[in-house]
This record gives sequence, structure tokens and C-alpha cells, in this order.
Amino acid sequence: MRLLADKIKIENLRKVFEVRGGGNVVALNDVSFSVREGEFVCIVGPSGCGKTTLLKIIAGLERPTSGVVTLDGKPVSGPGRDRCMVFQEYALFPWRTVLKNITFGLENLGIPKEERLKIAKRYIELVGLQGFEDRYPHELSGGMKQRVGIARALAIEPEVLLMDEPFGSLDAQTRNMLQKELLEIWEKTQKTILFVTHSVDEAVFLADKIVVLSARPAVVKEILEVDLSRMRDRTSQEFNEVRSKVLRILQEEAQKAMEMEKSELPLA
Amino acid sequence: MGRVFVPRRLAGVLSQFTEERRWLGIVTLLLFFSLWQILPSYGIVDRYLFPPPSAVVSDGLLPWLRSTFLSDLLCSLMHWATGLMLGFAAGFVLGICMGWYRVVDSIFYYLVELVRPIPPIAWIPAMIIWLGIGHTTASAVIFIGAFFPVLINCYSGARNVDPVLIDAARVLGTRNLLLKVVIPYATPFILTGLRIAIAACWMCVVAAEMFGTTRYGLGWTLFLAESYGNMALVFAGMITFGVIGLAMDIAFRRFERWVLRWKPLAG
Repeated sequence: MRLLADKIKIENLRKVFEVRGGGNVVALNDVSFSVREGEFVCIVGPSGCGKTTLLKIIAGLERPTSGVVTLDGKPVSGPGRDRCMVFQEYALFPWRTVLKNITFGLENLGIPKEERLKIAKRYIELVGLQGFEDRYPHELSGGMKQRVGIARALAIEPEVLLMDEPFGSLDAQTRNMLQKELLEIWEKTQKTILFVTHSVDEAVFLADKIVVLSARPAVVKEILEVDLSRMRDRTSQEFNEVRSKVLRILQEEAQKAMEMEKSELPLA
Repeated sequence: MGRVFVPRRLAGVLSQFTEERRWLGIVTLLLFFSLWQILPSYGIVDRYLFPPPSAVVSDGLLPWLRSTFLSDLLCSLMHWATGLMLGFAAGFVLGICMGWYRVVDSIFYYLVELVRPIPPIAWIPAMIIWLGIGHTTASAVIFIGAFFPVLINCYSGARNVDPVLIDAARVLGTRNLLLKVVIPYATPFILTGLRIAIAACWMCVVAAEMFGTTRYGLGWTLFLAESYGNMALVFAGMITFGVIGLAMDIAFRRFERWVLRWKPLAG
């Protein structure tokens, strides 16, 4: 366990969306927590609670209504190369090959071509995609697509990796495999990772720290340190103790979320 | 049991049949040309109104080839290419901007929707008065034929860019979303617009030249042939339009398949 300074501080974050035709939806209502350097933090919460919104604010893609996100003490005001994001839908550029997807961010940084290829090659090896450089995304399986997504984000060498349910569309085996690979990559690259998931199992397997959000409007319901050594054994007793604990909290919140959704539906 | 067995055997026969359907089409063509040759030759249909293929070649195509065919062809292709290129450029710029920038959309939307339904051919009289008789007028009509299909397709391409790709490009530090994401994303739409424009412009060539905007061209030849009552030349002109139109479409499909090699084939 690495105990270092706070890398990211999220303070009193609030996000209100204006709904077309009047009315507001409060997505985040006063969310605060912090992430240490090199820490692997998972964010779980009932569906629709604003996890993605939170991640987008940290990425600089959305502005909070109030509150502030600081990275190394500096407030975040837009996207920056110190952070990069991995998406559930992979978000690969379909007109670019695997290689060209990975060099996309490097082109924007104005890195010369030879250098770009060298860096891309390194990350292609890191995610094990050698031999697939010239394939187009539609020729790849879901797992391979997300490997490209991860390599593409890592290639610009951000300090923080923001992952929005990155394995959510994968089948169970591929998901488990990629979780292991991600942990290995994390060990090697020492990145700070913020990982949104709706799978408690995934969170307990991956995280140093689990941030449990409440039903909308989201506040931090609980923060759990997961003090288990890696690679974790999903069948062990300790693993399941943590899992039950998170599940219990989530169940209450899911119940609330469902009741809220019901009350928001127009009557038939 | 027999009720199952019979359709299955029928299906077998049918699948054999479909494997040979390419030949079936060729048989139809042969039959078509034979009938066209035979019926007028034996006086079953009027030889003047329907000159047989042999006459179309000997009385229409060959004399034409020996006289003005090449200048007519080049003239028509020039009208077509000039109008198409300018119409594509203008439609592309305005379509992409309207699709991507809401404010440009708001400014031009009603104007475009108002002018768009006017068929390109309906512009011919006004164009002749504005621009006189000449190549400019012919190309201007063809310009209209390209402009709107390209504009509409570029518009829907740029309007429908997957928002997650925009997010991805932004976190990866893109400064020029238009060039790096919007236009590549819209490429299939742009090419569809171009393909429609290619065919529409070819139609406009006939119309523009038949109005006598120039003294050369395939369309003009068609008009002359009609006024001389030269049915063999009328058919030769029609067939020339058909063959070149087909060649354009085949060539364009190949080009499109090459550009869109990153896209899975439909289905």
C-alpha cells in the first residue's frame, strides 16, 4: 500500500442539470473525497446516481455547478494531458487503425512521427496487441477494443487515468482477464486510477479504496479502504466480507433510487 | 412426412437456380436485344420509330463518332465536372458548418429548406437570363444539382457525430474537432451525397444542354437529333448517356469502397 500525498481533491461538488421544458435534476449534491497519488479508487453507486457525471467533471468535460476539483492543488478547468479517460463504449475512432488510434493523442501534442510510433509500440506491447496494429476497430473483439482504449489513454502519459465502467460491456471471462491485466499495468506504470463501476465484485477485486455514492442526488455514502493483498482471491472469506459490506450499503441506496424513479414516471 | 419432403426438394432446386441467376440476367439482355433487332427488321414494329440496334450503330453512332462525338462528350463532361466540383465544394462547406455549428444552422435552415425543393431544371430559364447562353449557364444548373444533395448529406453526417467520440477527442487534447473528428465521422454521409450528386448532375447535363445553353454536348446532340427526326441518333445519344452514367457509378462505388475500408460491409 502506497501512502502518499493527495493527488486529487474533490470538494463539495454539486451538479445540477437543467431539463428541457423546465425543471432541474440534481445529479451530484455535495460530493467530497480525495485520492492519493498512485491509488486505485473505485466509485460505486446505484445506476443513474451520477457516477459518470462525476468522472466527466474530473476529466474537465463538464463543469460543476459549484465545488471544485483540484489536481496537485491546481483547480481543474478543462481537459488536460495530466488526465485521460477510458470509456465504456470504447470510443475508438472507427476510421483509424489500432496504431492510429493510439497515436491520436500524441498527434495533438505535436510529437514527431518517429517518436509517436515508438511510444505507440511500447503501449501496444503493454496491452498485448502486437500484430494488430493495422486492424480497424470493427475487426476487433470487445476486449481487444478496450485494450486499445487503455493504450490510447496511457500513450499521452497522463498521471491520472479515469475509467468509466470500462469493462461494463464485456463478457465475464474477458472482464476478469482485463481486470488482472489492468492491475499489472497499474503496478508497472504507477498511475493514479479512478474507476467507475456498478459491479461490487469488480470494485473489491481492484480497489485500494471504494467510494460508495448514494442514490441521486449523490453524496458520498461511505468510503472503505480495502486492505487485502493482491492478486485477490474472489472466493476467500475476507473478499466476501468486504463485498457483503458494500452490497448492503448499495442495496439500501438502490431501493431509494427505484422509488425515486417510480415517483418521477408520469402516471399512465 | 411428404409435406416436409417436397418443399425441401423444391428449395434445393431453387438454390441451384439462384446460383445461376447471373446467367439468367444475361439471357434477359440477349433476349431484349434480339427482339429489338428482330421486331423492326420484320416490320412487326415501325422501323422508323424503333430503329434496330444495327441501325443505331450504323446510322447513328458511327456517323456521330466520325463527326462531333468527341467534342460533344468532352463538352458534356466538362459541364458536368465543373458544376459537380463547385456544387460539392459549396454544399460540403455549408452542410458541415450547418451540421456542426448550431448558429449556422439557425441562420440558413429556413432559406435552405425554401430553395431546396426547386428542381435544378427549373433554374434553367433564370440562369439563361442571368448568365446568357454558354458553358457558365450549363455548369450553373449542374451546380444546383450537386449542391443540395451534398449539403443535406454533409449536414446529417456532422449533426450525428457520436458524442462519446467528441469526449474522447477532447480528453486526448484535440484542438480541431472539425478536422479530426467531425469530417472523418461524416465521410460515409459525404460520399453518399457525392454519389447522389454525380447521378443528379448527369441528369442536369441533358436538361441544361437541351435548352440550348451551348452548341456542343451530348444533350445538345440529342435535341438536334430530335429536330432532324434522326431516331438512330436519338437512340445513340440515349445509350451514350446510359453507358457513361453506369461507368461513373461503377467507378464511384470502387472509390467509395476504398475510402471506407475502415467500415464493416453492410449486413
